[in-house]
Amino acid sequence: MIDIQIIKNMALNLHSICMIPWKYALAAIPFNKSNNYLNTSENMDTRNLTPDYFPVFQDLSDDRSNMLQERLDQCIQESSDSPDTPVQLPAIPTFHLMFNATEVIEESFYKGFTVFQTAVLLVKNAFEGHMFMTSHLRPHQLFETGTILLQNKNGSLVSGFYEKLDHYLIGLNHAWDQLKKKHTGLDDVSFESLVYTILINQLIRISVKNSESIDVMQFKGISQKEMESLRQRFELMKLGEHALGELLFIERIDSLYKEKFSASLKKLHLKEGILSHYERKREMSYNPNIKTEEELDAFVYECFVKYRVKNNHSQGLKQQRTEETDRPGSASVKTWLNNRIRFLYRAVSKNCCEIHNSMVNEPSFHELNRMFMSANSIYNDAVFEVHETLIKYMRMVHLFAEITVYRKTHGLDDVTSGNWALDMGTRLVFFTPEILKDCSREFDEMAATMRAHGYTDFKLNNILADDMAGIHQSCLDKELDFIDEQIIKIQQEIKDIMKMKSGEGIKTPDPGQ
Amino acid sequence: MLPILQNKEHKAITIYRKTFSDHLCNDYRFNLNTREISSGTRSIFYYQEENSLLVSHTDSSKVHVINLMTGKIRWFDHHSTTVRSVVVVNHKIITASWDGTVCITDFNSLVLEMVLTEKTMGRCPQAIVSSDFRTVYSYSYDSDKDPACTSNTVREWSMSDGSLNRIIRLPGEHLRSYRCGSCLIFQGKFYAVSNSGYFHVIDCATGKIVHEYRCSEELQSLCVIPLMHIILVTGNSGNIYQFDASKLKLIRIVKAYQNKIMHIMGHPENQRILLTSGYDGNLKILQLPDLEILSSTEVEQSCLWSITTIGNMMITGGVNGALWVYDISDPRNVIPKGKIHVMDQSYAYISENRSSFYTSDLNLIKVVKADTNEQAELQFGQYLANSRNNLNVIRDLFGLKDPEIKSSAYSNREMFQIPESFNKTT
Repeated sequence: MIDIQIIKNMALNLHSICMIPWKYALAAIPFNKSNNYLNTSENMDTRNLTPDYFPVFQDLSDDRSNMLQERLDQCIQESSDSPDTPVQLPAIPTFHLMFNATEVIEESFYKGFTVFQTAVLLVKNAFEGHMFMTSHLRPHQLFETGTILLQNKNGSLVSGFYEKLDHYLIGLNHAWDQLKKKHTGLDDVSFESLVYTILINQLIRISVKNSESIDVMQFKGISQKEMESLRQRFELMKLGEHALGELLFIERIDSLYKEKFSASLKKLHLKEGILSHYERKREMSYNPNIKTEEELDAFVYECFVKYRVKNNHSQGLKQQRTEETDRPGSASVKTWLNNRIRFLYRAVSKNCCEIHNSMVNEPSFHELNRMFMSANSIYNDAVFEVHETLIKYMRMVHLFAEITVYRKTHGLDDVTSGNWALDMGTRLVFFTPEILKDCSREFDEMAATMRAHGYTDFKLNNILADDMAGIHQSCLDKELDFIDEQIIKIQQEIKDIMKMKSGEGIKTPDPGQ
Repeated sequence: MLPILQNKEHKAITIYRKTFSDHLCNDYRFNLNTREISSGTRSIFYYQEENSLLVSHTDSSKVHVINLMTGKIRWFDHHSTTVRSVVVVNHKIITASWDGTVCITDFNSLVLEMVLTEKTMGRCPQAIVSSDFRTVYSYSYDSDKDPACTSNTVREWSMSDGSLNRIIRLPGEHLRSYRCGSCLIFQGKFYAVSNSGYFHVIDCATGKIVHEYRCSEELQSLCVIPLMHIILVTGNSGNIYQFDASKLKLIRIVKAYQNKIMHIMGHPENQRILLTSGYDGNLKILQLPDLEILSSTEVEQSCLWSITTIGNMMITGGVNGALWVYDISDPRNVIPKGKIHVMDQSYAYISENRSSFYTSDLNLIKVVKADTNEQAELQFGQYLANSRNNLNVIRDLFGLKDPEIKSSAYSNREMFQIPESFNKTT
């Protein structure tokens, strides 16, 4: 149906020269439901996939007519109505879903975007091209489902783009040359530092509206040292993005699994809790001071209360760490990341202004409220090591992207971000390669542990494959019966123990009965 | 079936989950899919700092790096033929190969950084690094290329720029066409044994031979027990020669095998224990200083090339390819734990009773019925394999602790009716 290789080759050419409009290539590609990257046996509900990406076509169509959205909806509708028939993407005269560099520059100029905003759009455009070439994902699909996908071995799509950035820098430099012809005074601006700054700040995920106050002249006369510092930070972000992808992937699988088998899992956890309770009660029943079942119940309750009281007092002390073995230079990285987290938290908070201002808990702000609570939870988490701080930062960055996209897609007013959320690369932060190596190792071990303990691959299989889900459901039912049997057995054992203590002896079943 | 989550706070639940899972899998066993055949094992090395097992092969020039903590397998292929020895020092992998080269590879990137060789260098069975990480010593059979060469050769290379500092031609003559030998560095002295029957001690600073001892048989391998100042040398007739390292005096000779002893090493955590693997496929554990044989285990019918230890687990492998894992916490009672099969791009560990496993590729695993050995129903078999495949199987086996995971890294925690750690605190 589609020769992906041809498209890839075509797209590769497009990117290497950045001159051929994407629409010509796209016109030849049938859009079919079976190409869906979430092509599961039951077309998995995508509601759980939080949009965290604001595509170029949305930036360029922002506050213009809704024509593009209508055409897009029509296209998606047609493809879902006839799953087997390839549907040609309609030709969109004014806007295309994908653009070439010239078109981006022209449209940006027409809309009055700043040079920095245009540069962000160019990098976003390269990312979209990368996604189309490597995963056959179109911008509207990224817009719908976000940049973390279940089909990717490592969940993050952005991570793959970071890895291949060097390939795209040639094309981006061509585009920058075009841009320089349109705007004067850009000769001394370091485009490479501009690209790194955009990527370090994850600006490719969010709307260019958020970067409208940034002056490109800040990137004039960037020194070698500053450039080196930016490169190092980019390497760190590459690692962070990879780790974030893994973590979000694992979490997503976990939540989809819980959703899919929620009824059985609720029962199972409830029964496991009861089982645990009786298990403990059985242990306590051997206490020589306890003679009756009433005493036993009272003792169990007393222990439970003691536990709660003790636990409440000790909670605040949990996260203290006595020893730290820091690598040289790690302190400056942590300080830089912590500052970034603080700025981002403020940015997130500002973008949740509706929930601060609303007097009652309005249901319309439920999602915003959830995001703000997540931001609080991330912000308050005490971390000590570089890799932990980096993860905290990446989570906050991702949350910021989610919130800004949410605001855009839910008709909420733009909140001017200014420069406060951005790291403009003017500060020098250096660290040794060992810090990167340590982070990489820690992330690998952390992700492997989480996958192993969360049985991520097992869950994924049960989510995606219908036949496996059926078997899994029947096994869950069997397990429920198994736990019931165990509970009854333990209850009987407790009774026997108490009877023995009270001198009644154990009733052995009559073999004749 | 819920996966067996190892919840330390809720041991009872973990136990019940495991009981149920075992109950479900009771009638089934996990086998290696026989369509895949692993190439023989030549050398095994455990790099503790990175929890990684490095394996080289007899029928392949690849070296596999298995991270037991993350389960990831990586490999590199920098030699043109079998890699005879692998060691990792300071995040540099030093490999010696039958192609007559020593390669230095970066552990993290697996990028080849240096190739140490020269025209006359023959097959290279071993390369070692000095304790200051500045010098690499290669041991080679130069008579492969120069028939006039009567014995084996040691070369001293600079680790910083790869320059050849010194060539030491070991005195003596080959006893026959068979070549063997080994070397080590201990307290500024270089110790070498060879198929000429000589045991040489060379001063590292001057390169001069300070002591030599001649045996009547070809010498294969050697090791040092630092705590006891003992050097042990193995011969091709199955003898173990025990030397006092400070006086360089032969203390005793013990016949431990009927044939060649391929590898000898001290237990890193218990210096009174000596581990040996033989050409006959036997694994023997001896007690120092008397060299009393504590146990003998027949691993396989063919040559066991190499051994290594991870905590109380010992891994050995040879011509048949599989890596056998044994529990040697009680040296008199060695317990088989399972086998690791390393394939071209994947690996699998299957426990001795075939009831648990971990693999990097589920296609390597076949689920069979325990009683008839017939293949299980396809879908149910897949389900069981999928549910039982967990990295914790090998982590638990080798006693590797989980890293601490902060809540910012993971927000989905299991919720229980009874609060966590209730059982523990009460």
